[in-house]
Amino acid sequence: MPRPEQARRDEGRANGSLASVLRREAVADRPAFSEPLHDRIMRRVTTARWSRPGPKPVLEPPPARRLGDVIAAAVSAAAVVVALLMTASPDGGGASRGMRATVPTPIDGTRAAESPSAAVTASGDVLPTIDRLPTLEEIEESVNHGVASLAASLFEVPDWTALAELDITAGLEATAVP
Amino acid sequence: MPSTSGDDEVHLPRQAAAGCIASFESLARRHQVSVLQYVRHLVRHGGDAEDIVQESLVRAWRRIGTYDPRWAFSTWLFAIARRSWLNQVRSTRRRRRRESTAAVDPIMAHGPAAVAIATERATRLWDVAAAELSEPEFSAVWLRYVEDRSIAEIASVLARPRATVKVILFRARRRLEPLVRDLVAWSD
Repeated sequence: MPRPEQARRDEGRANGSLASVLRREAVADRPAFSEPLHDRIMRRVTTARWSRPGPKPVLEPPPARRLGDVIAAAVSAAAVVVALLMTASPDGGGASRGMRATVPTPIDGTRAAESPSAAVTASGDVLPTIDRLPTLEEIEESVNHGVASLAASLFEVPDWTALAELDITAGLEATAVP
Repeated sequence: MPSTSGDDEVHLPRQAAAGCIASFESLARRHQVSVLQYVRHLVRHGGDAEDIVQESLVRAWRRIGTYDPRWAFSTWLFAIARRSWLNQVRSTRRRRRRESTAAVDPIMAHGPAAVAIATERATRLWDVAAAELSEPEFSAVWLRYVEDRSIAEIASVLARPRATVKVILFRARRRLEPLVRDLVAWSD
């Protein structure tokens, strides 16, 4: 019986008789090649062909610059809509404020004069042309104006002098003897 | 019984990794029998060795991009086959636990050697070895003496350090030697 240290040192090599017996027994027990099994395997392999993991084509993510452009375009579009709503003329012919208010109303049933800022459709509607659309500067100014108006309405400071005069007048009226 | 490793063993996996099914078919045809023989001993009482071989080769095809050509292709296949078998054993155990069957595992009831001796294949050395040895011991001995693999290759299949593989082989030999002596005496 070899010592364990020696046996470990020989990297697990068995003596000749044990190895030969093990090998002989394995050869005797070797199964034959199975063609049906091979066919089954290859059918599965063929089916699995397209589900192999690996680098799959991925959509190129939009670069930051392109994404910025998209955001800027969206903001511009939103600003155009806001500007159109805010610049609607008050004489909209009783129409609600909005896109319709920008359409000039024919006066006295006559057709509107030909103008580069308006077009008359076959049905008689007058539509604004591109010349009538606001410029970017106008849009920005309108947005700024709208924001300023909103802020002013939210943080409006009351006129304390007028309030004081009102209080004095009310006090005098209350104390006045008929 | 190790498979012949030539240029094909280098080129075929590379071509298969590039998507060539014919190359993979050549590899499968070349190694199918040796993997099946190994798995049949692992499975022992189950009849689904072919299923495991099939699953192993399909898995090899799917993951051939991860194959490391420093090892023989068949060594990689043995590792996949062993992993597939382990997965099946674990899933079977889980299923049995869920079903809570009262059926008694013959191996647990009588011991592995008793079961092997009780079968008609008890005289076959490798069946007795598979019953007597633990799975890592059996795999190490099989790969060493039947497939002629190096300690490093066996370590890669078993996912154990080389020193551990040497100890496993040493213990397995000590347990196999009396079995071999008995078998030889019985045969004579």
